[in-house]
Amino acid sequence: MDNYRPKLEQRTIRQLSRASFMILLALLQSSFAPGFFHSRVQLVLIAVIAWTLLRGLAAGTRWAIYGGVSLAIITPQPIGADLLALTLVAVLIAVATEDFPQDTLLLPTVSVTIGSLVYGVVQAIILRLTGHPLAWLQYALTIVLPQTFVNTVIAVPSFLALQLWDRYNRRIGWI
Amino acid sequence: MRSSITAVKQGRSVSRRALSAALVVMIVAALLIPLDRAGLLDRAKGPLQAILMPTQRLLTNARLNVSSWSDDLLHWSTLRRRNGELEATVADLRRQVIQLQTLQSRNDALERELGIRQVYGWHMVSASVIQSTSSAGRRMIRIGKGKLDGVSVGMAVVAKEGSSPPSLVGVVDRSYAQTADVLLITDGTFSLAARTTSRTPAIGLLVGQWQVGSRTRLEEVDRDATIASGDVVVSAGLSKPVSNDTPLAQIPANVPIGVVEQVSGSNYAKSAEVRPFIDPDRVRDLWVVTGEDPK
Repeated sequence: MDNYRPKLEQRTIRQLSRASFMILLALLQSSFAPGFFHSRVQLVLIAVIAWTLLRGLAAGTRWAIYGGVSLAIITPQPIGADLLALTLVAVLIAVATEDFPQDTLLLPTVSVTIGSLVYGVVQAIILRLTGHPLAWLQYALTIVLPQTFVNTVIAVPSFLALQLWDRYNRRIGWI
Repeated sequence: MRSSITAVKQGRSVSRRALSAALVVMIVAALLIPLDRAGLLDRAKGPLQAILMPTQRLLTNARLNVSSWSDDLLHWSTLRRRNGELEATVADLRRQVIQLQTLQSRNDALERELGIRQVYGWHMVSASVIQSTSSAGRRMIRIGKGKLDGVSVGMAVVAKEGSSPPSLVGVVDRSYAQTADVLLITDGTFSLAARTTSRTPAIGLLVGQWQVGSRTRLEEVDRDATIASGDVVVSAGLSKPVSNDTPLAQIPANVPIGVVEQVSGSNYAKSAEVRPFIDPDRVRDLWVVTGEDPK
Protein backbone atom coordinates (compact mmCIF):
# COMPACT_ATOMS: atom_id res chain seq x y z
CA MET A 1 0.00 0.00 0.00
CA ASP A 2 2.93 2.34 0.66
CA ASN A 3 3.81 2.17 -3.00
CA TYR A 4 0.30 3.07 -4.05
CA ARG A 5 0.34 5.53 -6.89
CA PRO A 6 -2.85 6.78 -8.53
CA LYS A 7 -3.47 5.90 -12.15
CA LEU A 8 -2.48 8.36 -14.83
CA GLU A 9 -6.09 9.32 -15.58
CA GLN A 10 -6.79 9.89 -11.88
CA ARG A 11 -3.76 12.15 -11.57
CA THR A 12 -4.71 14.00 -14.75
CA ILE A 13 -8.24 14.63 -13.47
CA ARG A 14 -6.87 15.93 -10.16
CA GLN A 15 -4.44 18.29 -11.84
CA LEU A 16 -7.11 19.49 -14.27
CA SER A 17 -9.51 20.18 -11.42
CA ARG A 18 -6.80 22.15 -9.58
CA ALA A 19 -5.94 24.08 -12.72
CA SER A 20 -9.64 24.87 -13.21
CA PHE A 21 -9.84 26.05 -9.61
CA MET A 22 -6.90 28.40 -10.15
CA ILE A 23 -8.43 29.77 -13.37
CA LEU A 24 -11.62 30.43 -11.43
CA LEU A 25 -9.63 32.19 -8.69
CA ALA A 26 -7.75 34.26 -11.27
CA LEU A 27 -11.05 35.23 -12.92
CA LEU A 28 -12.55 36.19 -9.56
CA GLN A 29 -9.41 38.13 -8.61
CA SER A 30 -9.22 40.08 -11.85
CA SER A 31 -12.89 40.68 -12.52
CA PHE A 32 -14.99 40.29 -9.41
CA ALA A 33 -12.93 40.73 -6.25
CA PRO A 34 -13.80 43.99 -4.49
CA GLY A 35 -11.12 46.67 -4.21
CA PHE A 36 -9.97 48.33 -1.00
CA PHE A 37 -7.64 51.33 -1.11
CA HIS A 38 -7.46 50.76 -4.89
CA SER A 39 -6.13 47.24 -4.25
CA ARG A 40 -7.80 43.96 -5.11
CA VAL A 41 -7.50 40.87 -2.96
CA GLN A 42 -4.81 38.69 -4.57
CA LEU A 43 -6.67 35.40 -4.25
CA VAL A 44 -4.22 33.45 -6.39
CA LEU A 45 -1.22 34.53 -4.31
CA ILE A 46 -3.00 33.69 -1.06
CA ALA A 47 -4.01 30.26 -2.43
CA VAL A 48 -0.44 29.48 -3.49
CA ILE A 49 0.92 30.45 -0.07
CA ALA A 50 -1.79 28.53 1.80
CA TRP A 51 -1.31 25.42 -0.33
CA THR A 52 2.47 25.60 0.13
CA LEU A 53 1.91 25.69 3.90
CA LEU A 54 -0.57 22.82 3.77
CA ARG A 55 1.07 20.52 1.24
CA GLY A 56 4.67 21.63 0.81
CA LEU A 57 6.75 23.16 -1.95
CA ALA A 58 6.01 20.71 -4.77
CA ALA A 59 2.25 21.24 -4.46
CA GLY A 60 2.75 24.99 -4.00
CA THR A 61 4.84 25.15 -7.18
CA ARG A 62 2.13 23.33 -9.13
CA TRP A 63 -0.44 25.85 -7.93
CA ALA A 64 1.96 28.67 -8.76
CA ILE A 65 2.19 27.35 -12.33
CA TYR A 66 -1.59 27.10 -12.71
CA GLY A 67 -2.14 30.50 -11.09
CA GLY A 68 0.71 32.23 -12.91
CA VAL A 69 -0.42 31.02 -16.32
CA SER A 70 -4.07 31.85 -15.56
CA LEU A 71 -3.20 35.39 -14.51
CA ALA A 72 -0.98 35.82 -17.58
CA ILE A 73 -3.92 34.92 -19.84
CA ILE A 74 -6.50 36.93 -17.97
CA THR A 75 -4.59 40.10 -17.08
CA PRO A 76 -2.43 42.30 -19.32
CA GLN A 77 0.69 41.23 -17.43
CA PRO A 78 3.35 39.54 -19.59
CA ILE A 79 3.36 35.74 -19.46
CA GLY A 80 5.93 34.69 -16.90
CA ALA A 81 5.74 37.71 -14.60
CA ASP A 82 3.14 36.29 -12.23
CA LEU A 83 4.52 32.78 -12.64
CA LEU A 84 8.00 33.90 -11.59
CA ALA A 85 6.74 35.93 -8.63
CA LEU A 86 4.36 33.20 -7.40
CA THR A 87 6.97 30.44 -7.63
CA LEU A 88 9.55 32.55 -5.84
CA VAL A 89 7.05 33.27 -3.06
CA ALA A 90 6.22 29.53 -2.79
CA VAL A 91 9.92 28.67 -2.45
CA LEU A 92 10.55 31.37 0.14
CA ILE A 93 7.51 30.42 2.20
CA ALA A 94 8.33 26.69 2.05
CA VAL A 95 11.94 27.22 3.12
CA ALA A 96 11.25 29.89 5.74
CA THR A 97 8.37 28.09 7.47
CA GLU A 98 9.85 24.61 7.39
CA ASP A 99 10.69 24.55 11.08
CA PHE A 100 7.63 26.35 12.38
CA PRO A 101 4.63 24.59 13.91
CA GLN A 102 1.66 24.29 11.56
CA ASP A 103 -1.09 24.36 14.17
CA THR A 104 -1.20 28.13 14.58
CA LEU A 105 -3.00 30.75 12.51
CA LEU A 106 -0.11 33.13 13.00
CA LEU A 107 1.90 31.24 10.40
CA PRO A 108 -0.47 31.81 7.43
CA THR A 109 -0.97 35.42 8.48
CA VAL A 110 2.74 36.21 8.62
CA SER A 111 3.38 34.13 5.50
CA VAL A 112 0.78 36.06 3.49
CA THR A 113 2.18 39.37 4.74
CA ILE A 114 5.75 38.49 3.78
CA GLY A 115 4.65 36.75 0.60
CA SER A 116 2.66 39.81 -0.51
CA LEU A 117 5.63 42.09 0.09
CA VAL A 118 7.94 39.80 -1.88
CA TYR A 119 5.35 39.45 -4.66
CA GLY A 120 4.94 43.24 -4.88
CA VAL A 121 8.69 43.82 -4.99
CA VAL A 122 9.23 41.15 -7.66
CA GLN A 123 6.41 42.62 -9.77
CA ALA A 124 7.97 46.07 -9.40
CA ILE A 125 11.39 44.79 -10.47
CA ILE A 126 9.83 43.07 -13.51
CA LEU A 127 7.98 46.28 -14.40
CA ARG A 128 11.22 48.24 -14.14
CA LEU A 129 13.22 45.68 -16.15
CA THR A 130 10.59 45.68 -18.90
CA GLY A 131 11.06 49.40 -19.40
CA HIS A 132 8.35 50.98 -17.27
CA PRO A 133 9.36 54.01 -15.20
CA LEU A 134 8.83 53.45 -11.51
CA ALA A 135 8.88 55.73 -8.48
CA TRP A 136 9.91 53.15 -5.89
CA LEU A 137 8.77 54.95 -2.75
CA GLN A 138 5.38 55.89 -4.16
CA TYR A 139 4.98 52.41 -5.60
CA ALA A 140 5.64 50.92 -2.18
CA LEU A 141 3.30 53.32 -0.40
CA THR A 142 0.39 53.33 -2.83
CA ILE A 143 0.50 49.79 -4.17
CA VAL A 144 2.61 47.26 -2.28
CA LEU A 145 1.64 48.20 1.28
CA PRO A 146 -2.15 48.55 0.72
CA GLN A 147 -2.08 45.31 -1.28
CA THR A 148 -0.23 43.58 1.56
CA PHE A 149 -2.70 44.90 4.11
CA VAL A 150 -5.71 43.72 2.11
CA ASN A 151 -4.16 40.28 1.57
CA THR A 152 -3.26 39.94 5.24
CA VAL A 153 -6.81 40.75 6.33
CA ILE A 154 -8.20 37.92 4.25
CA ALA A 155 -5.33 35.47 4.89
CA VAL A 156 -6.84 33.56 7.82
CA PRO A 157 -10.32 32.92 6.37
CA SER A 158 -8.78 31.86 3.06
CA PHE A 159 -6.33 29.53 4.80
CA LEU A 160 -9.09 27.96 6.90
CA ALA A 161 -11.23 27.39 3.82
CA LEU A 162 -8.36 25.70 1.98
CA GLN A 163 -7.47 23.70 5.08
CA LEU A 164 -11.04 22.35 5.20
CA TRP A 165 -10.84 21.47 1.54
CA ASP A 166 -7.46 19.80 2.10
CA ARG A 167 -8.86 17.70 4.97
CA TYR A 168 -11.84 16.70 2.85
CA ASN A 169 -9.49 15.68 0.02
CA ARG A 170 -7.41 13.58 2.39
CA ARG A 171 -10.53 11.94 3.80
CA ILE A 172 -11.76 10.88 0.37
CA GLY A 173 -8.25 9.81 -0.61
CA TRP A 174 -7.66 12.65 -3.06
CA ILE A 175 -4.14 13.45 -1.87
CA MET B 1 16.81 10.76 3.27
CA ARG B 2 19.57 12.08 1.06
CA SER B 3 17.16 14.07 -0.98
CA SER B 4 15.88 15.88 2.04
CA ILE B 5 17.54 19.13 3.14
CA THR B 6 16.42 18.80 6.71
CA ALA B 7 14.66 16.23 8.72
CA VAL B 8 10.91 16.12 8.39
CA LYS B 9 9.42 18.36 11.00
CA GLN B 10 5.74 18.87 11.51
CA GLY B 11 5.13 16.47 8.65
CA ARG B 12 6.65 18.74 5.96
CA SER B 13 10.08 19.23 4.47
CA VAL B 14 11.56 20.92 1.45
CA SER B 15 13.15 18.34 -0.80
CA ARG B 16 15.97 19.08 -3.23
CA ARG B 17 13.82 17.74 -6.02
CA ALA B 18 11.00 20.22 -5.27
CA LEU B 19 13.51 23.06 -5.00
CA SER B 20 15.08 22.13 -8.33
CA ALA B 21 11.67 21.93 -9.99
CA ALA B 22 10.75 25.36 -8.63
CA LEU B 23 14.04 26.76 -9.89
CA VAL B 24 13.38 25.39 -13.38
CA VAL B 25 9.90 26.93 -13.33
CA MET B 26 11.38 30.30 -12.36
CA ILE B 27 13.96 30.15 -15.15
CA VAL B 28 11.27 29.25 -17.69
CA ALA B 29 9.08 32.09 -16.37
CA ALA B 30 11.95 34.57 -16.68
CA LEU B 31 12.51 33.46 -20.28
CA LEU B 32 8.82 33.77 -21.13
CA ILE B 33 8.69 37.47 -20.15
CA PRO B 34 10.86 38.80 -23.04
CA LEU B 35 9.21 36.36 -25.46
CA ASP B 36 5.78 37.69 -24.54
CA ARG B 37 6.98 41.30 -24.68
CA ALA B 38 8.19 40.62 -28.22
CA GLY B 39 4.68 39.39 -29.11
CA LEU B 40 5.82 35.84 -29.86
CA LEU B 41 3.19 34.32 -27.56
CA ASP B 42 0.22 36.36 -28.78
CA ARG B 43 -0.99 33.52 -31.02
CA ALA B 44 -1.40 31.32 -28.00
CA LYS B 45 -2.69 34.05 -25.71
CA GLY B 46 -5.34 35.48 -28.04
CA PRO B 47 -7.57 32.40 -28.44
CA LEU B 48 -7.40 31.62 -24.70
CA GLN B 49 -8.43 35.17 -23.88
CA ALA B 50 -11.32 34.88 -26.33
CA ILE B 51 -12.54 31.74 -24.54
CA LEU B 52 -12.47 33.44 -21.13
CA MET B 53 -13.86 36.77 -22.38
CA PRO B 54 -17.60 36.09 -21.77
CA THR B 55 -16.96 34.96 -18.18
CA GLN B 56 -14.72 37.95 -17.50
CA ARG B 57 -17.33 40.32 -18.90
CA LEU B 58 -20.03 38.71 -16.79
CA LEU B 59 -17.95 38.96 -13.59
CA THR B 60 -16.84 42.54 -14.32
CA ASN B 61 -20.43 43.66 -14.90
CA ALA B 62 -21.52 41.89 -11.73
CA ARG B 63 -18.77 43.63 -9.73
CA LEU B 64 -19.65 47.04 -11.16
CA ASN B 65 -23.33 46.48 -10.36
CA VAL B 66 -22.55 45.45 -6.78
CA SER B 67 -20.13 48.37 -6.41
CA SER B 68 -22.65 50.85 -7.78
CA TRP B 69 -25.38 49.52 -5.49
CA SER B 70 -23.18 49.66 -2.38
CA ASP B 71 -21.95 53.15 -3.30
CA ASP B 72 -25.55 54.33 -3.55
CA LEU B 73 -26.30 52.81 -0.18
CA LEU B 74 -23.25 54.29 1.53
CA HIS B 75 -23.64 57.77 0.09
CA TRP B 76 -27.36 58.23 0.56
CA SER B 77 -27.13 61.71 2.11
CA THR B 78 -24.59 62.84 -0.49
CA LEU B 79 -26.84 61.52 -3.21
CA ARG B 80 -29.79 63.50 -1.87
CA ARG B 81 -27.72 66.70 -1.81
CA ARG B 82 -26.37 65.92 -5.26
CA ASN B 83 -29.90 65.28 -6.47
CA GLY B 84 -30.90 68.75 -5.28
CA GLU B 85 -27.97 70.29 -7.11
CA LEU B 86 -28.78 68.34 -10.24
CA GLU B 87 -32.39 69.44 -10.14
CA ALA B 88 -31.21 73.05 -10.02
CA THR B 89 -28.86 72.34 -12.90
CA VAL B 90 -31.64 70.67 -14.86
CA ALA B 91 -33.86 73.73 -14.38
CA ASP B 92 -31.06 75.96 -15.64
CA LEU B 93 -30.40 73.63 -18.55
CA ARG B 94 -34.08 73.62 -19.48
CA ARG B 95 -33.93 77.39 -19.75
CA GLN B 96 -30.85 77.08 -21.95
CA VAL B 97 -32.51 74.40 -24.06
CA ILE B 98 -35.40 76.74 -24.81
CA GLN B 99 -32.90 79.39 -25.92
CA LEU B 100 -31.02 76.87 -28.00
CA GLN B 101 -34.17 75.57 -29.61
CA THR B 102 -34.91 79.10 -30.77
CA LEU B 103 -31.45 79.41 -32.25
CA GLN B 104 -31.57 75.95 -33.79
CA SER B 105 -33.95 76.98 -36.50
CA ARG B 106 -31.27 79.38 -37.78
CA ASN B 107 -28.48 76.90 -37.60
CA ASP B 108 -29.10 73.68 -39.51
CA ALA B 109 -25.43 72.79 -39.46
CA LEU B 110 -25.35 72.64 -35.67
CA GLU B 111 -28.46 70.50 -35.69
CA ARG B 112 -26.63 67.89 -37.76
CA GLU B 113 -23.72 67.92 -35.39
CA LEU B 114 -25.51 66.13 -32.58
CA GLY B 115 -23.61 63.01 -31.81
CA ILE B 116 -19.92 62.36 -31.55
CA ARG B 117 -19.28 61.43 -35.15
CA GLN B 118 -20.79 64.63 -36.48
CA VAL B 119 -19.13 66.83 -33.86
CA TYR B 120 -15.66 65.37 -33.97
CA GLY B 121 -15.60 63.50 -37.26
CA TRP B 122 -14.21 60.41 -35.63
CA HIS B 123 -14.67 56.90 -36.96
CA MET B 124 -15.33 54.67 -34.00
CA VAL B 125 -15.74 51.08 -32.91
CA SER B 126 -17.84 50.52 -29.81
CA ALA B 127 -16.54 48.13 -27.18
CA SER B 128 -17.18 47.10 -23.62
CA VAL B 129 -14.78 46.59 -20.74
CA ILE B 130 -14.26 42.93 -20.00
CA GLN B 131 -11.63 43.28 -17.31
CA SER B 132 -9.63 45.80 -15.36
CA THR B 133 -6.16 45.13 -14.02
CA SER B 134 -5.68 43.83 -10.57
CA SER B 135 -2.00 43.55 -10.02
CA ALA B 136 1.36 45.22 -10.48
CA GLY B 137 -0.21 48.58 -9.88
CA ARG B 138 -0.88 49.33 -13.51
CA ARG B 139 -4.03 51.07 -14.63
CA MET B 140 -5.20 49.09 -17.62
CA ILE B 141 -8.42 47.64 -18.90
CA ARG B 142 -9.15 44.93 -21.43
CA ILE B 143 -11.84 45.57 -24.01
CA GLY B 144 -13.83 43.13 -26.10
CA LYS B 145 -12.65 44.34 -29.50
CA GLY B 146 -9.33 43.62 -31.17
CA LYS B 147 -7.46 43.37 -34.45
CA LEU B 148 -10.42 41.73 -36.19
CA ASP B 149 -12.43 44.90 -35.52
CA GLY B 150 -9.68 47.20 -36.74
CA VAL B 151 -8.32 48.07 -33.32
CA SER B 152 -4.57 48.67 -33.31
CA VAL B 153 -1.91 49.93 -30.92
CA GLY B 154 -1.94 53.67 -30.26
CA MET B 155 -5.62 54.28 -30.99
CA ALA B 156 -7.45 56.62 -28.66
CA VAL B 157 -10.18 55.15 -26.48
CA VAL B 158 -13.00 57.48 -25.47
CA ALA B 159 -16.04 57.14 -23.26
CA LYS B 160 -19.04 59.19 -22.31
CA GLU B 161 -20.66 59.31 -18.91
CA GLY B 162 -23.74 61.31 -18.01
CA SER B 163 -23.36 64.90 -19.14
CA SER B 164 -19.63 64.65 -19.81
CA PRO B 165 -18.32 65.15 -23.33
CA PRO B 166 -16.87 62.09 -25.07
CA SER B 167 -13.50 62.02 -23.33
CA LEU B 168 -10.20 60.24 -23.60
CA VAL B 169 -9.86 57.36 -21.13
CA GLY B 170 -6.78 55.70 -22.55
CA VAL B 171 -4.79 54.45 -25.49
CA VAL B 172 -4.66 50.95 -26.96
CA ASP B 173 -1.45 49.44 -25.59
CA ARG B 174 -1.72 46.00 -27.11
CA SER B 175 -4.12 44.42 -29.57
CA TYR B 176 -5.02 40.77 -29.85
CA ALA B 177 -7.41 39.07 -32.28
CA GLN B 178 -10.60 39.70 -30.34
CA THR B 179 -9.43 41.76 -27.37
CA ALA B 180 -7.19 44.72 -26.68
CA ASP B 181 -5.44 46.14 -23.62
CA VAL B 182 -5.95 49.83 -22.98
CA LEU B 183 -3.46 51.88 -20.98
CA LEU B 184 -5.54 54.34 -18.96
CA ILE B 185 -4.67 58.04 -18.83
CA THR B 186 -4.23 57.74 -15.08
CA ASP B 187 -1.40 55.20 -15.34
CA GLY B 188 2.04 56.47 -14.41
CA THR B 189 3.50 55.41 -17.75
CA PHE B 190 0.92 57.32 -19.79
CA SER B 191 2.05 60.55 -21.43
CA LEU B 192 0.50 62.58 -24.24
CA ALA B 193 0.82 66.09 -25.62
CA ALA B 194 -2.20 68.09 -24.49
CA ARG B 195 -3.34 71.69 -24.48
CA THR B 196 -5.98 73.89 -22.95
CA THR B 197 -8.83 75.25 -25.04
CA SER B 198 -8.40 78.87 -23.94
CA ARG B 199 -7.75 81.66 -26.48
CA THR B 200 -4.02 81.31 -25.93
CA PRO B 201 -3.66 77.55 -25.43
CA ALA B 202 -1.19 76.30 -22.88
CA ILE B 203 0.55 73.23 -24.30
CA GLY B 204 2.11 70.60 -22.07
CA LEU B 205 2.60 66.92 -21.44
CA LEU B 206 -0.30 65.08 -19.82
CA VAL B 207 1.00 62.32 -17.55
CA GLY B 208 -0.81 59.75 -15.42
CA GLN B 209 -0.39 60.10 -11.69
CA TRP B 210 -2.29 57.17 -10.19
CA GLN B 211 0.83 55.48 -8.81
CA VAL B 212 1.71 58.65 -6.92
CA GLY B 213 -1.74 59.17 -5.48
CA SER B 214 -3.34 61.54 -7.95
CA ARG B 215 -5.08 61.28 -11.32
CA THR B 216 -3.51 63.19 -14.22
CA ARG B 217 -1.23 66.16 -14.47
CA LEU B 218 -0.34 68.60 -17.24
CA GLU B 219 3.39 69.16 -16.97
CA GLU B 220 6.09 71.18 -18.70
CA VAL B 221 3.75 74.03 -19.57
CA ASP B 222 5.61 77.19 -20.61
CA ARG B 223 5.96 79.41 -17.57
CA ASP B 224 4.53 82.38 -19.54
CA ALA B 225 1.49 80.44 -20.77
CA THR B 226 -1.90 81.33 -19.38
CA ILE B 227 -3.49 78.44 -17.56
CA ALA B 228 -6.12 78.62 -14.87
CA SER B 229 -8.37 76.40 -12.87
CA GLY B 230 -11.44 75.44 -14.88
CA ASP B 231 -9.62 75.37 -18.24
CA VAL B 232 -10.60 72.42 -20.39
CA VAL B 233 -7.71 70.17 -21.49
CA VAL B 234 -7.80 68.37 -24.83
CA SER B 235 -5.31 66.28 -26.81
CA ALA B 236 -2.89 68.44 -28.78
CA GLY B 237 -2.57 66.04 -31.72
CA LEU B 238 1.02 67.13 -32.25
CA SER B 239 2.18 63.83 -33.77
CA LYS B 240 -0.54 63.59 -36.40
CA PRO B 241 0.42 66.51 -38.68
CA VAL B 242 3.98 65.24 -38.76
CA SER B 243 2.60 61.94 -40.13
CA ASN B 244 5.24 59.90 -38.43
CA ASP B 245 4.78 56.22 -37.71
CA THR B 246 4.56 56.38 -33.94
CA PRO B 247 1.44 54.75 -32.49
CA LEU B 248 0.41 57.96 -30.73
CA ALA B 249 0.11 59.66 -34.13
CA GLN B 250 -3.28 57.96 -34.35
CA ILE B 251 -4.74 60.10 -31.57
CA PRO B 252 -6.74 62.94 -33.10
CA ALA B 253 -6.39 66.50 -31.87
CA ASN B 254 -9.06 68.04 -29.64
CA VAL B 255 -10.14 64.89 -27.82
CA PRO B 256 -11.50 66.19 -24.49
CA ILE B 257 -9.57 64.94 -21.48
CA GLY B 258 -10.47 66.89 -18.35
CA VAL B 259 -10.53 70.14 -16.44
CA VAL B 260 -7.66 71.96 -14.75
CA GLU B 261 -8.13 71.91 -10.99
CA GLN B 262 -5.01 73.44 -9.56
CA VAL B 263 -2.04 75.21 -11.10
CA SER B 264 1.43 75.25 -9.67
CA GLY B 265 4.70 76.46 -11.09
CA SER B 266 8.39 77.00 -10.74
CA ASN B 267 10.83 79.39 -12.35
CA TYR B 268 11.06 77.16 -15.39
CA ALA B 269 7.64 75.70 -16.06
CA LYS B 270 4.07 75.44 -14.86
CA SER B 271 2.09 72.33 -14.14
CA ALA B 272 -1.53 71.64 -13.35
CA GLU B 273 -3.63 68.94 -11.74
CA VAL B 274 -6.19 67.76 -14.31
CA ARG B 275 -9.43 66.10 -13.26
CA PRO B 276 -10.52 63.75 -16.06
CA PHE B 277 -14.08 64.16 -17.28
CA ILE B 278 -14.53 60.45 -16.74
CA ASP B 279 -13.18 58.16 -14.04
CA PRO B 280 -11.56 55.46 -16.22
CA ASP B 281 -12.00 52.86 -13.48
CA ARG B 282 -15.78 53.07 -13.70
CA VAL B 283 -16.13 52.92 -17.45
CA ARG B 284 -18.15 50.05 -18.89
CA ASP B 285 -18.86 51.01 -22.49
CA LEU B 286 -16.45 52.92 -24.66
CA TRP B 287 -15.38 53.62 -28.21
CA VAL B 288 -12.07 53.14 -29.95
CA VAL B 289 -11.29 55.97 -32.37
CA THR B 290 -10.08 54.12 -35.45
CA GLY B 291 -9.82 57.17 -37.71
CA GLU B 292 -11.33 60.54 -38.52
CA ASP B 293 -12.85 62.40 -41.42
CA PRO B 294 -10.31 64.15 -43.61
CA LYS B 295 -10.14 67.86 -42.78
